[in-house]
Amino acid sequence: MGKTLRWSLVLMLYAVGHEVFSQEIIRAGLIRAQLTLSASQMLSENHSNFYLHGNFEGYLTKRLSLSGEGYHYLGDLSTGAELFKVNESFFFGASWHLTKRSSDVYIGIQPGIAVARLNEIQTNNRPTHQATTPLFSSVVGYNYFVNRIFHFFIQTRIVSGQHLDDVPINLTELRISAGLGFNINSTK
Amino acid sequence: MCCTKRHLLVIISLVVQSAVFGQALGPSKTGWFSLGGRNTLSTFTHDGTGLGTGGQFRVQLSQDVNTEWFADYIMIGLPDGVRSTYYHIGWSVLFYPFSQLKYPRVIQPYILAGHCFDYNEKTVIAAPSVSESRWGSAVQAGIGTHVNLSEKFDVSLCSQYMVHLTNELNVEKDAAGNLSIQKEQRNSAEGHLLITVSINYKIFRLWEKH
Repeated sequence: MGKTLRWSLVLMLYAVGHEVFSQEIIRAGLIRAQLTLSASQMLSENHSNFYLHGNFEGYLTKRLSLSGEGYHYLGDLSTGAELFKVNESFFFGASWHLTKRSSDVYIGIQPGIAVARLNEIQTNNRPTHQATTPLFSSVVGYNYFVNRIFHFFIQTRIVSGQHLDDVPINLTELRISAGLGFNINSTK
Repeated sequence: MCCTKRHLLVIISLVVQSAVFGQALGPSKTGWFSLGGRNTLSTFTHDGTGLGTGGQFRVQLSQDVNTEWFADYIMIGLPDGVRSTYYHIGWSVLFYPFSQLKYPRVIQPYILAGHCFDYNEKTVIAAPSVSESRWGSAVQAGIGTHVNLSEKFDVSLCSQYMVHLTNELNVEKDAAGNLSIQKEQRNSAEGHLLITVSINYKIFRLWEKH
């Protein structure tokens, strides 16, 4: 009885392993998501912001995906007073993928908006206002799909736009994110 | 010789006609509804340059005619610390003059023209109470091209000139350097060049023509 159970377990593990590791991952119906920290460098200001970066992406074909991404401002890595009190940004766009086995290099464009409010220090302690700003962004990245559940990723994004409230600030920024993501094939 | 020339002309005209009208059009594209997002670079003659974010949907009426319904939110930083915000909502008709240029061809050029309603608000950034707004209407025309990356997905690049017919808002600066925003009493025609890059995905067919 014990022997049968052991063999059943071995067979089940083999079946699960086979299912997880052997099938083609990057194809239509693949959904991937991640939540990570993102560092950035503003190109017109001497500030390095960091964000909580979330992403949700669906592959319409092996080469084409649509994605929605959001950044929640966590703080400023540079010395001196913070530039922003609030600096959230949201993007939606498409990416074009070049894939080979588990590797996936992509380039995409993502229009977006920023919801930002300056730190009062920037306005000599006068109250600041929240403003919604149009953004343009393009992304270049690489995913490595370990199996049907996990992948590693690295993404760089260039953002451009201009905050036009209280004190005009150029929002042009280079953002880098990397980490572990989750993926699932939603179709057979 | 004359007869040969005439025959040659007939043959050439038949070949041209065959090339122009006789091509198989492939599966009909009529009725497709597509949805997308866009960024617009607005270059004004008097306002400067600004960036916009927006979206659009398209309804394709025939093989050669498409319609695009769009909304844009554009923000421009004017000199002297004035913010100009534009909201555009409108539609354009896209005409494909080269019927053979469509998917699977990557490049699909088009001509477009249409109408638009727009709302403009100008605000002195350092003194937000100094602000003025107006509604207006506009017409636009231009050229563009789809870059068909798959049968259902395209990236489109378009350049169009939009002329507003409205009471424009002018920023005035007095001798003391104080800024004010004045609405012109008379309608005037002022324009700007809009360069738009958009991504579009054909989601479903509203109707099907066999």
